[in-house]
Amino acid sequence: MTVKHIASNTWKTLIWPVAIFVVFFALIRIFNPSSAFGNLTSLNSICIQGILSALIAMAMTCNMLNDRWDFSMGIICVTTSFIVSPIVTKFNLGSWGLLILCIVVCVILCLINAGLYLLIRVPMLVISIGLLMVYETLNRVINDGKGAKLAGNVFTIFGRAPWIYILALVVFLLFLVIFTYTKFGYNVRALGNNQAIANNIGVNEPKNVILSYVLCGVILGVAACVNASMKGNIEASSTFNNNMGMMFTAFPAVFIGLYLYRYTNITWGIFIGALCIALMKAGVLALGLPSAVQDIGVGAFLFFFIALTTNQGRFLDYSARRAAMKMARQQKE
Amino acid sequence: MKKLIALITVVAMCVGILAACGGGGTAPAGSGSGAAPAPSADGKLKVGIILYDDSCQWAKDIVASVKVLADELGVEIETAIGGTDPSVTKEDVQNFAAAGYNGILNLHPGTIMPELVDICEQYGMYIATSNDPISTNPNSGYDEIKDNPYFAGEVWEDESKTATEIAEDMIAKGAKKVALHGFPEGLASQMDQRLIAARAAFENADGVEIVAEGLDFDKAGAAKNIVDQHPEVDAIFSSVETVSTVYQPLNDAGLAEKVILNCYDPSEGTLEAMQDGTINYVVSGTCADSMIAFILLYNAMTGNRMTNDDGSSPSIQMSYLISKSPEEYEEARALCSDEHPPFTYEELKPFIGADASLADLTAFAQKFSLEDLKTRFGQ
Amino acid sequence: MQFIKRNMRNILPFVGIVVVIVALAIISGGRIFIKGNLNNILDQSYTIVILSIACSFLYAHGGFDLAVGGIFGLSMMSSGMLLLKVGFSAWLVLPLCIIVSFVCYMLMGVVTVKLSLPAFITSLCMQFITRGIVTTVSNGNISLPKEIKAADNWIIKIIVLVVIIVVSYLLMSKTPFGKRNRAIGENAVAARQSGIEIDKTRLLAYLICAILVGIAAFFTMASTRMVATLDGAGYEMDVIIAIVLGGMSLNGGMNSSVRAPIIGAVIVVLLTNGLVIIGVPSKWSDFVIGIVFLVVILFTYKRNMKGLLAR
Repeated sequence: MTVKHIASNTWKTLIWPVAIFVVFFALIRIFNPSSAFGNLTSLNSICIQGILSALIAMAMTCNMLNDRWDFSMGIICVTTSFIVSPIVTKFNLGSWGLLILCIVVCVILCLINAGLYLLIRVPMLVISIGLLMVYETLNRVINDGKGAKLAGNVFTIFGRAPWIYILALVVFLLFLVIFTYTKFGYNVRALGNNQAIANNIGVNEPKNVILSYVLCGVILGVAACVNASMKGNIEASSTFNNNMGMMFTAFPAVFIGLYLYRYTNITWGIFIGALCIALMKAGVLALGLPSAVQDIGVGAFLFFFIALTTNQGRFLDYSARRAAMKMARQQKE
Repeated sequence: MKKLIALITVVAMCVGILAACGGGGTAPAGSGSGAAPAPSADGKLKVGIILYDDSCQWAKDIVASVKVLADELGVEIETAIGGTDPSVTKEDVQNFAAAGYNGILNLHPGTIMPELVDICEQYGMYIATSNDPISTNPNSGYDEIKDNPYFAGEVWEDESKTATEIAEDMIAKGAKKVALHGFPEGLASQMDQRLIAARAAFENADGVEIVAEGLDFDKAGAAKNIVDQHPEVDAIFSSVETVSTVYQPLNDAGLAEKVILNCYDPSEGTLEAMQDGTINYVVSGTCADSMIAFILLYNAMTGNRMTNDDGSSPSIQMSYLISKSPEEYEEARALCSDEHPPFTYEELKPFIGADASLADLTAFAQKFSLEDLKTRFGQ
Repeated sequence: MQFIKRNMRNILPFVGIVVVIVALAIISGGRIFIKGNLNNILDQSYTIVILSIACSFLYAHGGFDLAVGGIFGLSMMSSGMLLLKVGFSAWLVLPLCIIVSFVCYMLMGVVTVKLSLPAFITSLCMQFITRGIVTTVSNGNISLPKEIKAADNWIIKIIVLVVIIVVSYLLMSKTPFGKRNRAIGENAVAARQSGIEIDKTRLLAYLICAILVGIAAFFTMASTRMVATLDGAGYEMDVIIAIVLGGMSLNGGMNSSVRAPIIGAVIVVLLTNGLVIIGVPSKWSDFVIGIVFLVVILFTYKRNMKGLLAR
């Protein structure tokens, strides 16, 4: 890999968040100059929101690399905080207790998913929809339907700088190392490229599924901890705790990450994706537009992004052909 | 063979559907020809309560308060979640009707009441609404239903007045740059009216500017964005419960002291949030409305429907408890919560039965306030 | 016996629906069959049956539809608002609903097919966009004039439903289009090599889906006489549940059928309705449906016990 190559890849990755930031910054300077968009506090908050989406997106990616679409990730994250919050409050376990318990519970719940998948052997998407309904009920029953309450406590250090950055860095590195340099990571990629061939050359897929879910559980546990720390208080009703919303906000980050995969490593790609979405959401609000416009913006951006990156080859082909034709014409003359 | 099965399916579905259609699908409104409600095995009356959500403190207060009356009167109650989708509310009413319920207490009327009253009429079931105002909502179809004998009446809050009062108090406290927070408009007229009134109050005041409107289904995310993108804000008017949404972002940003914030409906941690000064107003007391609405419903179910002089259904307006200090809030919660319903059965007993007068009930209900609570419970 | 063995997966969903009905009937002492309740069940399943049939055409060719709820909501909201502005006429609503749904689905279809994007992503984008538009433009629930109630007539609704079911059945199972559509879901490469025009077939599936969603939107408006911001929210999940419960694979393929979404939707509605009637507290009904769902897929979903893990 030459320096030029690296520079070109970095440029192709960073162009997206930078472009979004510049566009919104310019618009906001014109239409709503009093807004704080672009100052340090606001950027910090955007990064923190990006980190939460990126964590959930990474947990989803663990499985999506092998086409296991799991719709229960969001609700596992929420259910975990409901199970953990009364324990942490009762025994006064502090922030670290919250983090560790979240990870443990998430890993257990994710292993249930993996176990059911290996047992029933139907697509994960289908199982996760059944589980979604079961967890929804559990959320109303656990802790007497009170949801998670951590507000006003000292448990929330992982929702703020600097700890959230340290935590995110550790998880990002973990994810990067495991997926790039371990045998498990190779196997995941092999299974992702061609399931049948990977199985034939001796990849133990069930074992790989379980390991993927353990990794997914760890990351999701961190996400649950960050989510609970940031919000402090999560309601039990699925209408209000937004577990599907969490998934749907993370999806764009996953897709952007998967498409940026060719220029950079997947961790960085996902974070860039999540950052783009967070920038856009904050930018729309800073412009003074209704919040629902955020969704239109995110949808349109993802449309545009995916259409462009998927069809890049076609555009390049087209311009190359035009150039060739032009040259041929010139030679004739 | 598959083709045969597929064909049989289609035929079976059609037959089933036609049978269902013949089975009363075209029952005309007003005929009351549907199945009469069957009291449960032990002859008890049954009432279904439809809520947005059954797990929050707001719902717990309401269900517990109504249950006090229901237990005394020998009525069975069950809740259903109407979500925020009117077609779910309609399904809830249909299912309760089919299950042989005698009455519905609807806290989520929105604009679907004419439909619901139609269903009730078919089944001979009564319906009352509480909290969410329908008579002041031009889209609710109130005129169509107000004379219907199966509509037992509404008990409502003047949301505009409450919201205006809070907004004006915020302005009086020096709020210059304000933000609105809550669900997007269109979910419930109750929340819409709060936002509309507050917006009007802020816009009419001199030198007050609305810098952001964070109205999103992701209420916590919206709050975080308001705080982080507009740190200059010095008051946030929210149409929802704010302990679980705005509290944490405000404290994280260190703005809790500076920003004036209100909160609708109690929750765990509200008192602490008032004590540390993050939340400055709490609106509570909705369970009182539901108890009065339950009385209207019970009277209708037992054949003593209360009406105005012109025969139309009653519409009783009550007042929220607005707490502006932790002490006030503590008093309000001590006297009006799931653990201590705002009225006792003994107090409401005179308003039950054939001799009860609507005027007396209205007068009693409209007296409801913190002072009234203190006098009645001798504190 | 041979016949039963061979058609196990086709018969099981029927067995499922019968078991559900019998169980509910016994526990409720026959109350689920009272006159009005069959009407309730029909009313509650009407929209979701049509939407599930609509989406089954997309799932059959291996597509995905996360946008159905959003498009359904948008066609209701936009036609309602527009007609209230320019003067209301009940029967103009239907074409408007179909037009809005058509525009959304065609946009989605053309982008998906022509730019060869995954249907999951494009439909997710469409969901964001349509939901966003509905929430932005709506300022409160809209109640519609009484005249739209004219369309809430069971005779009309039943005729429409029967026509939809029969036509969809013929389209899916009897016509060359249906066979091609399912063949693409079975194996797109093989389908292309056997000369099927994949793009055209898929676009046609989007077109059928659009029309059906428009019709469903219209009858829902007539039935509730209002339009709300959250109309259709979460329907994409309900549709997936219905299709899977009916025994159809979400990956599509030759086994796709119109009966699967119908059976699935009816089972869900029967359960929701029956559980209330037999007195199960509402908070547990999702739990029961979830468990039933997992049990049903155990028996009906195409499983591969020995070979590769399903994806």
